[in-house]
Amino acid sequence: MEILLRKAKNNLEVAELAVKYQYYDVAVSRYYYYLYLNIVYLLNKRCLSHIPNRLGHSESISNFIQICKKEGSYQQYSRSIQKLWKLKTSRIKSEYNPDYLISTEDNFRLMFQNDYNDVVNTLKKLNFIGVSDG
Amino acid sequence: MDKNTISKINEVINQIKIKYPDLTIDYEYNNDSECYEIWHDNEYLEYNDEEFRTFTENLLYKHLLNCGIINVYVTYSYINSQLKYNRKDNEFQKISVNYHDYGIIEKPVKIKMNNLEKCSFISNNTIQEDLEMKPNLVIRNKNNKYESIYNKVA
Repeated sequence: MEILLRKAKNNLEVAELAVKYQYYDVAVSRYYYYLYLNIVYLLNKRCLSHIPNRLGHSESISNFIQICKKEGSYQQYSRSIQKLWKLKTSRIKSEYNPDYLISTEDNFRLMFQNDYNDVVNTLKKLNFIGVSDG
Repeated sequence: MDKNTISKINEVINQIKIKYPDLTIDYEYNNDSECYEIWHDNEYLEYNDEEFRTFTENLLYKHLLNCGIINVYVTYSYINSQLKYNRKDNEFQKISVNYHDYGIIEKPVKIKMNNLEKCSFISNNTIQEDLEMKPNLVIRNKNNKYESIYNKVA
């Protein structure tokens, strides 16, 4: 399962490079997958009764929210955690929408990065990302 | 879209409007990501105002998340904020045009009518019906109706 975290980290590095090269839609996609792979890793670790990496993204996000609820960390941070749905929406638009292009740093910040930071800071605070079995 | 969910979302929106009457706030459903976005137009409140965040978080939790409706979030929407509108007697008025169709363009774009041949029309639908079909369409006032522009012609 550690390989998932490695893949997540690779996505993060590519996302940062994409921002540097001003490929903002690529960055949206890679930042999302950085978070998503961390979530899949967590689901694999904690939900042994099913195979999360075969679930769709919506199911994975829903299951992750259920974990947050069970662990009692949900209500206080729900507003930020729920924005995973927004990141997913942004990822779909950035990857597939033929009329959608984020072409400035300012738009990137306003349309994605502020919410991404909101989510990632919350998940770090809850030790849901950036922590491996070590 | 589920009627019960929409009813609860409207309840959340109404309560937010009571406390923040100057806020433009609404919701839309995204078919691709299968979730509801409750969006508003105040960037500062979203990212800097703890009271606003806590207030909206409590409403979100009480009316939706705690009722098992989890495919919903509250956010500032830059895109929809560009489509400033006021609701008056169920009609939408006004408009700024720097967004077309689903895309964001690098800089505010002045769309000229002669660049929009065959793409502009006076809709016979209600604005709400059109927004449901094309939630991010560009809107302009015209003779008490409105004009919808779906695609910019190159």
